[in-house]
Amino acid sequence: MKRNNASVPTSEPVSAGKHFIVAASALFRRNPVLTVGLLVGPLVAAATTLKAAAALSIAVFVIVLPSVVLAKLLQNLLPNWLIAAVSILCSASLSFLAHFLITPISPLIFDAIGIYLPVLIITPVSFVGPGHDHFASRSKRWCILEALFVGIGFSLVAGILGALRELLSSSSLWGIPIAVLPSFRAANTVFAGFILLGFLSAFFRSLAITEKKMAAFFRRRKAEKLARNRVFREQYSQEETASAE
Amino acid sequence: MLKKLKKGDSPHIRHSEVTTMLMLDVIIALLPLYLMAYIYYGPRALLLGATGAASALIFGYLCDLFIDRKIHSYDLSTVVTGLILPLLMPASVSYFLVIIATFFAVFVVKLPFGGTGYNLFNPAAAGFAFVSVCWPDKLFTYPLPMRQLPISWVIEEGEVTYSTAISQMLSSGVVPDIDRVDFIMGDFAGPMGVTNSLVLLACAVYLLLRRAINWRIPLTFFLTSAAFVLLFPRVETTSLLNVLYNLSGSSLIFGGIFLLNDPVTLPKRNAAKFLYAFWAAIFAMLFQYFSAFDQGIPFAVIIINVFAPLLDRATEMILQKIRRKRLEKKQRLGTDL
Amino acid sequence: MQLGDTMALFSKGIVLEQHKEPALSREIVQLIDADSSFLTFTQPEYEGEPTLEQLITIAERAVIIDERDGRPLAEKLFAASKKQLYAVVADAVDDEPYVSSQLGVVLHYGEGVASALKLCAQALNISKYCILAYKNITDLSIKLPARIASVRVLPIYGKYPAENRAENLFGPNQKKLIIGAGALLHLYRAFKESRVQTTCFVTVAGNCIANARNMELPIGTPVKDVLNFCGLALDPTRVVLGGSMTGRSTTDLNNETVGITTRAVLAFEDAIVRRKFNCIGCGRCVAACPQGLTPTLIYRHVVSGHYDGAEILDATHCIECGTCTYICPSELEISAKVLQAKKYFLSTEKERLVEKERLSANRRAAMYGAFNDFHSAFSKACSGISALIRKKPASGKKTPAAPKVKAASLSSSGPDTGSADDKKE
Repeated sequence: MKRNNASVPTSEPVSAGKHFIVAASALFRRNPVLTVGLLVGPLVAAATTLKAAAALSIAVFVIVLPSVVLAKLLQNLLPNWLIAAVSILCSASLSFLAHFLITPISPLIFDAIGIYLPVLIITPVSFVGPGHDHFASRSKRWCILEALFVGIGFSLVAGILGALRELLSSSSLWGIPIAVLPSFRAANTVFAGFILLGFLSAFFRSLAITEKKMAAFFRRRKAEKLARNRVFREQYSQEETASAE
Repeated sequence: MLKKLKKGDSPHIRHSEVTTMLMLDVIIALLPLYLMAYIYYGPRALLLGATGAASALIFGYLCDLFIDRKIHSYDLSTVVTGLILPLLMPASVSYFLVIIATFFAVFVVKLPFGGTGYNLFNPAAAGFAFVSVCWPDKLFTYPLPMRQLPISWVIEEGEVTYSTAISQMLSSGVVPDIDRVDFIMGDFAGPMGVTNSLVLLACAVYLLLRRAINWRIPLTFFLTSAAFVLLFPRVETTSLLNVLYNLSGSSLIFGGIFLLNDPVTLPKRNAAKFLYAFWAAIFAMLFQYFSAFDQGIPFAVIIINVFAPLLDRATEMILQKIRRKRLEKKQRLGTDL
Repeated sequence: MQLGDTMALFSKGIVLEQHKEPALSREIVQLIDADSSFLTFTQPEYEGEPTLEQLITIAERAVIIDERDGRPLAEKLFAASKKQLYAVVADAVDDEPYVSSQLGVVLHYGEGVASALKLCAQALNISKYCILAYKNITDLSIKLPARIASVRVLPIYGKYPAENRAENLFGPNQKKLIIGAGALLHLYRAFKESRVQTTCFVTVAGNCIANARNMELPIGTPVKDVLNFCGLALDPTRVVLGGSMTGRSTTDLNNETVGITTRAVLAFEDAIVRRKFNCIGCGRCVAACPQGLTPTLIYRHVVSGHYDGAEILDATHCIECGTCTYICPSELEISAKVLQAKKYFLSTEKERLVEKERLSANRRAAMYGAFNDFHSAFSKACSGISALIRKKPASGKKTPAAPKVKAASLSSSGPDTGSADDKKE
């Protein structure tokens, strides 16, 4: 039974705020779709309109997330094969529930993601399986929050992608015609979806890099400031002792 | 006195030929095609070309600003792309389509991969492919030549008579009945700059003489596609006519000269170039025979572009063995004192 | 086509305009140094023709060094006596543009060179001897004779680099001893007049030189004096010691001196503005490389810092001829990068790790460096604007009276040495 190092709790106590920040990084900095490539296939194939994207996100929330959380909670408690079996069973049974939730919104969505439904069901194994644990939180309880952020991140990307593609191809949003834009029929295709996803990923990555750069820069500035203050204080105390003598 | 002195690496002399001149050669080779398009379709053809060139230039500058925050490249490679794109389209497309195609070519095919010199796909071919998938009805309906087209922004219905192109006739198994003279003069419906094979061959000769094109690629490409047509004819005519209709009725000759020879996407070793052109011809003919669109060459070019680095690496592996063997032989024989 | 010249069929290399006139036709100017030009040595005893040992002694005492490779002539003759050689050959192959120091010696002092060559051949007991000369010179107003003092002048045709073509001249198994023409002339002078070698032959040329000549200079003449003697018509942007394709450029004219292997001092003025183009993959460098390498792929590997995939590209085979850089239409410095790759692949594991660490540090610095520039520009603009508002002179960001020791190590400029160049190239 292999222990996954990321989930071994560290000895030093970490504040709840830090836990929250680590969990929330799953939203932008480590967005699962854009950095890890979670569920890119179903996303590009099915999320051609905003409605479809919404349906897909609901499907992910209902099918994928609970079983991913279950797999994470059971980690290190059961052997890996058993975890895999249990989580897949869980997601498969949840797909029934998803069907009832989604059909009123978009009846055809299950046809659109039809071939990718097994992919959705199997995702827990690739997300929390042995060798690739994509959670960054150290404690298991915080992983639940992180899973929530994973879902929100996925929905965000799916929403942007679906909205863009719908606007470009049929100038409408959620079925309501909006503006008179020239229609690019190619935006519905998978090839354009991947290109748009690529650009979205590059944009998010640039945000993440800028954030890192700014953080490093301000950290260094703070260190310089502290060092300068220390030097001044030493100088001042030297002058004091010199004038006292 | 010696203030201007600077240090530099060897060698200290350079050849006078610069990239700009290379690209200028290709532009000069495209001008006769624009002349022919003007003769067939009137000033609209020239305006479309100018739109393509101007938008490519502007987008190229924006691309530079994006990458380096200053415009530093004066090589005309984007302008070449902008001039090639309208020639692949019929003269009845709107200017907007040309601009969109150039936009796609520069910002999706060139910029994300690193700008000029680093693109994986041929930008002109990819731009055409994108536009043809978006608006297939606009791009595959060809107006009759020798009639002046209006130069308005968009061509309304009924202003222009359309006709089926040779490639479309061949796809439906019909033997094209075109007057011999018309065929040689390029006076039939098709994309703007693609119909006159004699002018195209003259441009090819010019480019070959100026060393802008490697002779291996067009030769292999044309021979392979001709062999393919001879082996698998689509319609019932003589073999020669079959070859001629297939090659010059669609944009195969144009693609084999201008699209396939883009230096950035070619493999760099000569042995790999033969294989590259061979497979490009196979893909192009397969696309021509079996796809819904009748212009197959841009898609084939995109596919074969992916294999260029692979072919390079395979050739390099073989060459490495040859080089090492030569070095061993030299070391075994000894050197002069 | 030469006998056994197998490279001619595949004809790699480039055709270069030689620019050897007017230096070649003019007489060789001698600069005389009072202290050193008339040194002599004591000749060993011999009757008639000297034997090999006596010839080696003469070469040793006259301190003759071959300008081809910098090795003493005595050592070369000694090594030649140990092997079975087919021919002795005088080297007058000046295949680089502007350089004609060996060819000039052969043209103007041909008899001396020929007699010395015959001496060596007789001493080594080798029957075949000739003078090799490069004949692809288009702007020649002097004709190269077919024979000089009954010694045959064998022409080498072909593209640059032509020195390779001399390798298989007589056949793959028949090796030869190649001695530079200048060394042979000094041997002749040592034999006849017991003179020690104190001078070297140097071509002074280039588009900035008013009087291009071949010169015979005392060894150790400063480069500045050489240029002043010939006269500078224009301000040079580049002064090169060595050939125009393989030499090294220098900026320190007062302290750099001319040596035996220098062979040329060239002064160029590049009137062309060099713009930054990217490599467009035209393949001209691949067609020109005489070793059959792919310089453009090596260049891309070095510039991106990923040396690992470049093992197959055999950068260690590079002979540093410079044809790839010469012919590149995008004016890239390919040769320098290929040499960098060659150095990397010839270095040890530890050195490679050091190089990789340096590259990643540069990359990190470039990433943060860009933001530093932006931030400093932004804050300067802000302080300028706020000063305008307050109508006071803008104060600098410097901290007054802070001891420099600690502040220097935490300066906000960051590691930016050479990183910008590396990133941009």
